[in-house]
Amino acid sequence: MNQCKDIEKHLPLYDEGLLSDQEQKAVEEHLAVCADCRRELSFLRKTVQILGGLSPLEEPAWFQQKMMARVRAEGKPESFLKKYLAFLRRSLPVQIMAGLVIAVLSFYIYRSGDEQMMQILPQAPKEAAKMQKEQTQVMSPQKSDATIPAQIRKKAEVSETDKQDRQSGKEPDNGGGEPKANIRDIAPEMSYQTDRYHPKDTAETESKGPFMRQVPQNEMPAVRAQIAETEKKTEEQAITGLAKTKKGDKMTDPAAPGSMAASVALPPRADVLLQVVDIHAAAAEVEKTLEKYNAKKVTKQWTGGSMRIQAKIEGRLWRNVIAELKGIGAMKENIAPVEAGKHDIPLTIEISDR
Amino acid sequence: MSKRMVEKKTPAADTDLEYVVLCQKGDTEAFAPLLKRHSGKMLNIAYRMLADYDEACDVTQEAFLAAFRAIGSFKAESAFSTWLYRIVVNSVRNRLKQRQSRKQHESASFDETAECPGGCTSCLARTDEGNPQQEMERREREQAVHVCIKALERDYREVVILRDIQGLSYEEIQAILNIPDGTVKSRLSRARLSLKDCLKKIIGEL
Repeated sequence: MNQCKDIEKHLPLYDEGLLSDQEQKAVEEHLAVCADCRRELSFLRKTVQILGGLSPLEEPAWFQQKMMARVRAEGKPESFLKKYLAFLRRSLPVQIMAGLVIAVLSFYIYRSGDEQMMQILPQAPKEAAKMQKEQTQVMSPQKSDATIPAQIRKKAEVSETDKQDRQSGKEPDNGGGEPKANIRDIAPEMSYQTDRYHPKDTAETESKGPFMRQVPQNEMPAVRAQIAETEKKTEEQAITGLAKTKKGDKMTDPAAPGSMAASVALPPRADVLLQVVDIHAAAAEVEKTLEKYNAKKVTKQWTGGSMRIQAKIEGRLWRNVIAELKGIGAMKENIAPVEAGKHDIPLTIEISDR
Repeated sequence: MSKRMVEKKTPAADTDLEYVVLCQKGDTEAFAPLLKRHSGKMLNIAYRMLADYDEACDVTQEAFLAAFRAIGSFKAESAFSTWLYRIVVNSVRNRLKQRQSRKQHESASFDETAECPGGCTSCLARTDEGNPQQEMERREREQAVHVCIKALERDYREVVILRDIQGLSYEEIQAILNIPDGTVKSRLSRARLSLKDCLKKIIGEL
């Protein structure tokens, strides 16, 4: 029986004569005397015969045509882009490629978000950022804690004055400008005081900057109530002004939701650009004028090509100062403040020869 | 049966070479005769190994495309057909690995109760046996063979398909599978014994 098992191992290759002479002879001798092994050999022969007789598989009718079409497509010279992409695919792992694609897409989406915001508010973000910067430079971080609430209170008073003016049939005095224009111009300053609009850069200042932190916590509810009231009134005022002027597009409409109508709560200030022939002579004249009207905290700064003079003017006098400045050179009022009453108004005069 | 069966096929003169050279020179159309000559055998090898007709068609196409892309590197050290079969065997191995990694049980794509395994009732070449009884027996036998082949380990399956079904020479099998002569023979011997036992179980007396 043991011999049968040994012989059986050689049977599959016996017919093909692939065994060694010794093995071949041993198998032959054993087969002559063992009927079981002969039967196994016949089974093996039958198995090989069945395998050899299996029906061949037919190709699908489309097979060769489709193959040749793919071969022809493959044979066409590749474009540079395709070659480059194939090279990238080979040399960079899929994960790195995916990471790169996600990074580029994220950056693009991030940037396009800014552009969309610019389309909605074409001027606001830039000016907000600019004004915010100026504010930060002008108002030192060591400013007293009461400064901001005081300014906000001033706004409330100013607004109240405007309301009284309106009720008495007078147009609110906005320094000669259109209400809409004033609101739009002042609007950027609001960015750190209201939650209506928060450009990215100013939002950060809001959370980290010195201004909001300086407002005492116990004063906040009262101040907010005042702000809300003045906002409401200013919106009404803006709508009235818009109805009169009937100009300006909808996107920058001050009466639109989240618009700059809330800007009345801003501290009043005046930015003036003077275009003169002789900067230094004009600066001397400006200083003289400021002195005449008892300007406080007068600072003079040469900023490469232009002279910047900053001062604080008493509210009731600032209009006179502006009138006098108009006599010195061509003047452009960047921001026209509302009437500030007896409170001081920060005035920035930029003297340029361009 | 004796030594006269040693080589069923002698390596044919490689008439493919002239077309191969044309392909290497950029003549895409010269690939058509090569495709016509070898596609049937390549498809059969893939089908017997994968036991799935659609997958076999797919793998054969991939193998041909791979061959076309790499035809420039063909050095005529072996017959072109051997080179092609090596590509198709490697493609089948890759497909089996993918299949395994998907943890897709082979029986899911291999319906043993189907009239023709792998869902290809019309893909097998018709025989003119005429007698319906004999035709039915033949089909049952083929189905049993298919099941038994599929039950073999991959290494044994490859050898038995190339040798006993496709009738390739031992030298060709060595070159295709890149294994020594002794390994081919030992694998073939075990594969035949396993198949014989399997068929005996399914069909009974052969």
